[in-house]
Amino acid sequence: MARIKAIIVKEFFHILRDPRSLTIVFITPVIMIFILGYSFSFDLNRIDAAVVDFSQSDFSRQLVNSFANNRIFVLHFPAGGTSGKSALRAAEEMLRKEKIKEIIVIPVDFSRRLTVHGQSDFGIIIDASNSNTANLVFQYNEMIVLEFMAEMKKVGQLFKLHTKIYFNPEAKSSFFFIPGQIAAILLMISAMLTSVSIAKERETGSIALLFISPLKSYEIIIGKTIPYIMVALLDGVLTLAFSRFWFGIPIRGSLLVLLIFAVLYIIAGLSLGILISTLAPTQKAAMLAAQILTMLPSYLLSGLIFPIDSLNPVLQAISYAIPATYFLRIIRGVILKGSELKHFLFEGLMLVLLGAVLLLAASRKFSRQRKAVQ
Amino acid sequence: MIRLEHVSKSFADIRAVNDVSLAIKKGAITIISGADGAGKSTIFKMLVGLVKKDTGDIFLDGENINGDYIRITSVCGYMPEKFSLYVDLSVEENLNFFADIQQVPRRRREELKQRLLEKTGMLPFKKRRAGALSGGMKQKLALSAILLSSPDLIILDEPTTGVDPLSRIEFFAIIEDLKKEGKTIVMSTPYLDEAEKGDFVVLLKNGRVMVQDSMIMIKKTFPARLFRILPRGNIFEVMQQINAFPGLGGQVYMRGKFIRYMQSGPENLAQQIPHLEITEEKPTLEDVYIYHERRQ
Repeated sequence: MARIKAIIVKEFFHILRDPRSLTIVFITPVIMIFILGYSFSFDLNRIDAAVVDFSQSDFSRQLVNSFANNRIFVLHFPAGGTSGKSALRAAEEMLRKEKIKEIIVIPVDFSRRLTVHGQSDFGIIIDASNSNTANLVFQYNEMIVLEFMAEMKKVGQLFKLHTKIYFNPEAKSSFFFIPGQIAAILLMISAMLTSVSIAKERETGSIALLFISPLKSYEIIIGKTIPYIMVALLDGVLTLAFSRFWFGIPIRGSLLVLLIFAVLYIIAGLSLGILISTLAPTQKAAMLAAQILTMLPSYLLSGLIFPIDSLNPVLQAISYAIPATYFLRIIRGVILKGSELKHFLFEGLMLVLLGAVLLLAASRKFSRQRKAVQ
Repeated sequence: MIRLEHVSKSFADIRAVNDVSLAIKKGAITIISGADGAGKSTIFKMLVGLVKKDTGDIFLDGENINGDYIRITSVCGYMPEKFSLYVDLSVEENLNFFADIQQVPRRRREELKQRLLEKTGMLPFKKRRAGALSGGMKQKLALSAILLSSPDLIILDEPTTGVDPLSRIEFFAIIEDLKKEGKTIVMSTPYLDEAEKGDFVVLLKNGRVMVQDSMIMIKKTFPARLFRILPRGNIFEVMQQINAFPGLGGQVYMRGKFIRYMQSGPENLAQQIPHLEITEEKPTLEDVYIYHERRQ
């Protein structure tokens, strides 16, 4: 125990006396949350649409008004009049120049067909170069058209739909993405801390002195891990507090539950770091490997951005071996839904399992390396 | 105390240590010397298990360790060639850390630390960070760190390389003291004048042992006579003349205005060389090294 304590104390000295480590640990995550918190957003705050109304009737004006009354839509009426082929060409030009996201085209017989047949067609041309945005635009259109139809047919008087949105009432992307980013950053920081720490010992040659000392391999690993569990937890607290106060992310669940799972998650990350350190010859290589091996899978395969169900089967299988996949569900659940410990027994078990596998692999590799350095 | 028998080690195509057999005697200073790449560091690393030998055996007190390097590391302190303590820790913090991992009892530690710091002249610098120490002080700190566990065997890999002359003298004084305390010391150095301070010397070349024996025996059994000549006439012409004698090729070299040459045979060549002055000298380790190196 005294020997483990000696390594822990030494590691704390290294951390506190190395401004570069301190920056990596405490400043970088906050900057990352700040930048990614703003850049990662699927929210659509404005839809610019051009209107080409060949009908120029009361009904067509009512339809146009229903778009105009929506706070998201900003309508443009192309130069050369709102009707005629020159207007349509002008609108298409605006679409190409990305000044608008859609064109609303109302045919010349729109009003007559509505009056005679009780139904009519009209067209919407959507810029789908960004498929996510196009989907959202499509959904907004559908909503407005349904409301317009209800008004025309007085269906609104028959029933009224009350929708209650749980957990993220304003459907803010940041509420969804930022907890995920905290998970990804925690994994990266954890892996980076231990991998760089051990790679540094190798670079300076001090690892040789530890290897030939009476220290057992597990003592070195525990001694190197404990300080960084604390540092990573502190980092988690810092990024969570920043997200809470800067982005207004709600924390609805128990922090204790989050803490319990965070410790398991961080151990998995630190173990991955030790494993990386046994393969990386230098600090730079260790840092780069830790970043690539944690950030890419965490962002692309854990469900942080893309739903796991939408991945191909091979990538789906890989996603189950990524600790972030499980901690992501936990942190989102606890923060946004106020979920409890009992809701994450499977995720907790998987974190324990992944942590144990990584720790075992790291310990074996480390011990083997110690026994036969060359 | 330690014996290596037919030990070899290769790194890829390079044979770093080639069939080396040598002995490290208890209570003595053994110095392994040779040029860079001769295999000095590899031998030390194999002794402490940092490098796995390819072939051969290592014996500790007559028993084959059979890969159980803990038997050696438990009785030895190893100081690597490169300063490997923590530069961001102070002298005292480094010593505390190594005392902790070596499990030096708390009650003994303070007294031991004080004694080592006094002995190495590091006491005024105990709060200074290791990274801010001079090369000589760093080596003294590294030595202090390994002495905390009071090892019987002290392995020092080029402890004086890159160290200023005064610190080297101080360092050797400490080593002499350690010998007086009964410690067994084995160290490496590329400097032959330093190697002369050993009780036993092993000279290496390209991973092979050229010579090994006690310093006294090495000089006593030196198989040639060594002459120093103040030449009459042009020194280069005299050099050429000496070089032409059969059996002397490559064993002649200039030292300032003198020529030194080694002569193995019984014939006295001195009278055949134009000289103002001729003196027979006792060989230094440098002469021994040159003699064997050029004969190989």
